Amino acid sequence: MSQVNRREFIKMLGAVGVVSATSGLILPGSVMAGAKARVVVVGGGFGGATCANYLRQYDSSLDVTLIEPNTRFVTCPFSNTVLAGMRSINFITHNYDGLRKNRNINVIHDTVVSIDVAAKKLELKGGKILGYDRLVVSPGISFDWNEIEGSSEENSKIMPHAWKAGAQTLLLRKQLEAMKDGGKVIIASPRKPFRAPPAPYERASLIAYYLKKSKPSSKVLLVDSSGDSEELAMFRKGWEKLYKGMIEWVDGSEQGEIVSANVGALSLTGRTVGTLKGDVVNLIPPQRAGEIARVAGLVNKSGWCPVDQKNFASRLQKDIHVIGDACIADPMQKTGHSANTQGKICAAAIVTELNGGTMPEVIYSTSIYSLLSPKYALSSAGVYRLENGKLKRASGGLSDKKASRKTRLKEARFATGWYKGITMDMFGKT
Amino acid sequence: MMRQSRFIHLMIISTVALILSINVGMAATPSKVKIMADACLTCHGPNGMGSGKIPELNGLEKSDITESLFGFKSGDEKSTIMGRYANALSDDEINRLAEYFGGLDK
Repeated sequence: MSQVNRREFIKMLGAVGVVSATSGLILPGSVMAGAKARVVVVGGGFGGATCANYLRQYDSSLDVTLIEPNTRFVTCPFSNTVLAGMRSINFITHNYDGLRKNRNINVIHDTVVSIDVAAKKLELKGGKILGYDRLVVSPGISFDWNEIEGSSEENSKIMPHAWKAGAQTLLLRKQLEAMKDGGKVIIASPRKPFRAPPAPYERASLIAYYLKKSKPSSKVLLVDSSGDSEELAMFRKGWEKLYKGMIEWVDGSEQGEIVSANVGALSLTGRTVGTLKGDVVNLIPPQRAGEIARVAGLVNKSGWCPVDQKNFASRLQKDIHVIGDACIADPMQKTGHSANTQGKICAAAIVTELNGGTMPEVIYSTSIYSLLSPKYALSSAGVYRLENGKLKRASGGLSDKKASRKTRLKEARFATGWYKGITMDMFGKT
Repeated sequence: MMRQSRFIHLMIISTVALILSINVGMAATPSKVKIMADACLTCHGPNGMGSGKIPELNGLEKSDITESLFGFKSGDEKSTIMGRYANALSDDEINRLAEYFGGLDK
């Protein structure tokens, strides 16, 4: 009766795209392609690490590679606590062991030098060439040194930005420690849009926290490119309570913008603010998408990457998605939490598309906690939904203006909980 | 005899295709509630186990979660940040999220 022998049976399985020599039946990674789909994620920060992690969680048959130059990732969130001496750099330093061991992600520590969009291949500095079916680019930010005369990567060793955490954070911390009592720290925030909009306020607060304890005659001068706002008013109220007379605020928006820096004199100059001299100068330069996004032709004139907010697919290049600070996800702010959310939604959309499904309507949530002291925090939250393909805010806002000190303390504790939660979530820790 | 053989071939192919389609449907596309619940893990930690002072969600009774979320949404239950999130959720989404986390093991 056996008219179908083993060889014929295997041939038939092959006809529907599933052959396994050992076990007979396996599920292909991508049903459409009939083989394991390869997804490469470039950048292992809040967007990229999360996306790689969730790609594997949503479809364990995917072949996921994460490319990140650094073996350790130092987070910008909570880096202001390192400046203030509240936390060590180890607290904000993470590795990729969880993604490797718990999620089986191929993590390669290298730099992408070019992306061949037509051939769907990318080249690494180490010489390796990787092909992909889908590419996710999460490159964070790069600095625009042309905007402020006298600013440069080299000069950031004298006037640190500390807006990418790590060596720059430690350098600014060292400068603060070396400053004499009675000195002045200048913080100049960049033109919008930039990474973590309320973070200059948190930085001013926590530097004042450190100075109040260690160098109480010192001052902080914040040249604020964002100008006046409801959020600023809440910070100023906190400063009044916690650091009376220590933080001076200057409107650095529009005509107040800083236009030149003199590293020799440690001074900054703006049209309306004149020349401001400090003992420590934290100059945060204007920003744009990370360099590889420009190289790959993913940025538009604004310097950022236009995407379809439904799945974060690039509007400029096929089969490439851009997430995190680099993409235009307005009205979501550029924050770690936003990047984390985008990483998850992008992963879900890619898996759904590769398997021929329809992406359900979901919410996009974000928050950013700002510490004014170890026991006083404010938060900003946002929930967004797609309406006609564009994100619209459904809910959110700032902490209760009239909240008690007890509530501010609770938010400070939640800030730490948030940090632990999101870093476990993105790095695949269990 | 030939006809019977072709029939068997066809049967095997269609059975395999059926098994495949079931597997694909089950494993490969994340549901709405799964994606929405995964958003909660950013603050509430892996598997919703809680993170520092941020409370756990897994293993709670479904009714406890719905009571809290509807309370946050209406403002009857005070919160620092959850009211700002719950406001955006539909009643159906609240019920489905509560069911999801209520069904997770601690």
